[in-house]
Amino acid sequence: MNEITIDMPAMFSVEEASAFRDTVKTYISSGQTSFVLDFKNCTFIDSTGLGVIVSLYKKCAENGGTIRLRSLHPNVYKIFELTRLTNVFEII
Amino acid sequence: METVQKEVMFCGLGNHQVIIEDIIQDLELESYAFDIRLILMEAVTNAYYHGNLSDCTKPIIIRYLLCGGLLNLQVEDSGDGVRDLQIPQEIGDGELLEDGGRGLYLIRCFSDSVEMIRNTMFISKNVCAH
Repeated sequence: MNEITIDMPAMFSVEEASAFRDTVKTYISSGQTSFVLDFKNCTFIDSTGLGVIVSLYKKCAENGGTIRLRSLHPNVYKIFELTRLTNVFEII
Repeated sequence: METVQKEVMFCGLGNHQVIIEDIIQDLELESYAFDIRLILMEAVTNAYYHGNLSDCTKPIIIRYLLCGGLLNLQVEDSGDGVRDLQIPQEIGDGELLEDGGRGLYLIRCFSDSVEMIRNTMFISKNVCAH
């Protein structure tokens, strides 16, 4: 199965995370389990955004897939690093 | 650095991002914008979900005081203030893949002190003008 690339929104917080979760769940229910999240336009993420990504990562991993992260803005990278999620996700 | 002291009250999460951006603009601390945005977003989200139990009719109050290079923030919810709020010092190996539990930790990371007293979170951060 091919990897799906998803462009992340500029602000990835409560409202955006909810819409993102719905989008990815739709993909997962159709059998797609590997994603690249492209953060080139994303300059902010909070714990709500992280929680949604982690939750979806677990669903993908359970089904043999994965989530990779691309083009992290330095501030966004710092959030992943502080929460030690740089040890979980492949960052490309 | 000019002294700024204000208070904003709102309900629910429908407009909180705009309110937080207005506070950042009012403080004129552009170089700390990301840190302040993160602190307030996490504190307000915590107040809404855990203090107000997702009740969008209950108010949340943000108070901010910038004086002499010290930024003091308070985020007050409408809860009874009896919850035992632990602010994590670290994310342990067993918590890496938890869906939640990172918000208060991130507030700690981006501030100099954070404390919950009854239904109000008190946060302070040293800032300097650039």
